[in-house]
Amino acid sequence: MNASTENRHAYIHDRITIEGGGRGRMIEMIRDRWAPHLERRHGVRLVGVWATVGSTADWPEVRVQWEMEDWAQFARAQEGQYPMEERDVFLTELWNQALDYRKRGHSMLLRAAPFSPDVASIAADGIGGDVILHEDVRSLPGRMADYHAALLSEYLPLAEARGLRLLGAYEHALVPNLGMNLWALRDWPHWQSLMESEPDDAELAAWTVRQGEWLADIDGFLVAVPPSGALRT
Amino acid sequence: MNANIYLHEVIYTVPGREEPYMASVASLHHDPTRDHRMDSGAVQQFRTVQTSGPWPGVINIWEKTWAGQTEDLVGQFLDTKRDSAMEDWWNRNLHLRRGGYDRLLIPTDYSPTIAELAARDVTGEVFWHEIAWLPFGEPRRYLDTLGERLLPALDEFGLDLIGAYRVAMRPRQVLTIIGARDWSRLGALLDASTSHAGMQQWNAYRASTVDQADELLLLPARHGTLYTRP
Repeated sequence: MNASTENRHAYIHDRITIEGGGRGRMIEMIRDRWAPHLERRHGVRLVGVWATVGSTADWPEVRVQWEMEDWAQFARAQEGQYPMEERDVFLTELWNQALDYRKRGHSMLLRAAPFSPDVASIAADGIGGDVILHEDVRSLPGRMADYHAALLSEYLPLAEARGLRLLGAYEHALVPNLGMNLWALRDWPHWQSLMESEPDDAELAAWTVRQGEWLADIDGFLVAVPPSGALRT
Repeated sequence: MNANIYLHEVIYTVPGREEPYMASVASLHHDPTRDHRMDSGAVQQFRTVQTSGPWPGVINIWEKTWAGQTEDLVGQFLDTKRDSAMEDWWNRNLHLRRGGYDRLLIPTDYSPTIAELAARDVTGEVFWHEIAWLPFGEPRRYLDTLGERLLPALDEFGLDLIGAYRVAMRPRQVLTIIGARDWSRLGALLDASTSHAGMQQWNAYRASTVDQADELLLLPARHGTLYTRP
């Protein structure tokens, strides 16, 4: 990958704890109103909004990821939004309406690995699917760059051979040794076949062991892309 | 050989509503409109006891297959094969629980199925539940060692293995559950942990291998198959 195609965008990843049965409504609100507003007004692009798959991690929960052109545009977008009561009344209204669906969350500022696709290349290459494998990564001290290098050179070919497509690989911009990977799976039967073949997949088992060279831990779980109106919980 | 998988749920119940929650979620598995779903039912539901680890809370463990689990998720996240009974239940019982954290478990070959537990009339008054974090590459070896070293000691002390699992997509984690037919057997096992040769050997391996462990002592739901009835 040459320098001109390296991903230098800035990202925000939101983990939103849902109140009661508001998960579907929160996702629709972000898709229909929040994301179009942020893009039009502040140039912030939606990477994705997903429902965490409860059988694999926290529930009920929604995950959202935003892309900004660079850190300068990140700063302009944040300055344009906050304090929102003064600078963006529509965002203020959305924020207050969303209190019916969520009252708290946890966000991360992320820097993409150079080879991580951006929103434009995700769209151009048609990267996506019904199911996303989300991996929270914690590296050994100072080893995230080495892990990303190995991810690109060693794991990416294994993953692609199994039908996974890289949607993103990131490191935390503020907290050392934290990162996150996103992989697109075609559909639910694809996930089922990956799970059924995992116990006998010697190549993946070898990679899992090898990750210990760079990582302290990695936690995988699924997030899903429900079609409009599908999610009623 | 146990060819099933297991859905493990940690439920953040509304305090004081543990038993109503467990009965409520169990009722879904008796709903005749959901009979077609591929699901063996509950291994057991448990509530935490104020003896070890965080409380209050509920643990559910369901026996499934990858095909059945996939069908459930398709019904939840796509607009086909909707599970309307589940959706209605979910929204009707928000007053019983606030959320949860789930894992999908892959059993060892020696981990018993529901049918095998029933055939052996396994019940328990208290259950020892552990999630352990191990070095990369160690979980399978850990579970093999557990089978070789701990299971004979459990037999000796009259305790039962309820399950021993790897965690799907979380390569450092293993989860084990041991059942004691009464508290005294658990007490005897803990008492022997520093004096019994087999337990010493197992605990030395554990201490040198486990990076972190979350421990819970659990009581079985009274409607469950592992509950000891008078």
